[in-house]
Amino acid sequence: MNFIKIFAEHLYVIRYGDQPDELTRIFGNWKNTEYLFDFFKDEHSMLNFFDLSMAEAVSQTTKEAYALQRSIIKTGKNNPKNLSLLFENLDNKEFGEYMLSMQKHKHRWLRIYAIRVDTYTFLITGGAIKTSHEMSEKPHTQEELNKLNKCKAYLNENGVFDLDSFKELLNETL
Amino acid sequence: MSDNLKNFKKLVSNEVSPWLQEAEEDLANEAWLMRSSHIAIRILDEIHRQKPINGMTQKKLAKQMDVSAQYINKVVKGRENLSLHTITKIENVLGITLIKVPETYSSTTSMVNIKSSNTIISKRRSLAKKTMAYCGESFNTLDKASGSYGN
Repeated sequence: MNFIKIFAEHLYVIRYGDQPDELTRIFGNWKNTEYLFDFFKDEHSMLNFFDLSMAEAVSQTTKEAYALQRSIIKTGKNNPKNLSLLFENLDNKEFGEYMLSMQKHKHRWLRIYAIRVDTYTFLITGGAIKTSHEMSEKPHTQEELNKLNKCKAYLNENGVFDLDSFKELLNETL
Repeated sequence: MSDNLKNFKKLVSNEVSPWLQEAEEDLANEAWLMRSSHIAIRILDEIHRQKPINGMTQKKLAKQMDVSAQYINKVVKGRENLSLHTITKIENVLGITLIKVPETYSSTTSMVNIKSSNTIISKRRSLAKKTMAYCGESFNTLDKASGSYGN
């Protein structure tokens, strides 16, 4: 896996092999109407819960994607350190204790997953349209969880740990 | 700089993601991109509806419009700057209206638009609350950094 820069010093993203980096890939999907249409075809329970048609769900998600994009650009350009305010910790019940803080930046259904390497430094590992309470419930979010774990393991092997985040997680589990 | 950050930076390549440049281009073109997306949604929805009735597909639409299937595939991705000519051809083949320009403006029209806007805002707030409940999260304001609404 390669780590490449978005906003230098504060926001980085993973690129796997020759594929587009994860941020480019997920936004490419979220702004692709046909992709979203195919995605929501299989999400009947979610559509029923919100009483939404497929067309309405696609429209809602597209708007969120553009808003999320705007939010990252605006924050990153004004003061990249403030990107830390856009991310929050994933719920412990989603996956237990970890050395590094798994963070998420979200705007309703859309989730961007990142590892907090330092106070103001984040590494984006992927993203997903969250259609269930817990990541393990659906294959596409479970895959994001697997990516987070693999990245964490790789960072640990290379001497990258985050003691502050570990403390936060400990406090939450006491 | 902490040891943690030093070790991390040893792993970072010199490459820069193209995301920022693409996102900034989107920002400059967001208004028409959103419209293109809405049109694509309408087209896909209509193809989905017509398929069991008359076998409509993207390929069939392309053939009846006398354009390539690859072009229609681009259109339904919602990022094409469509000409009025293309929009009209799609409308004629699918039997739908994609864009409509009001012929006259009146005070009655503006009152109707205000009432419609309030209904839309109310529905969106309700949808936002449902989203939070579905994802197991509380309804809080967010995003002190950018000042936008959400959680």
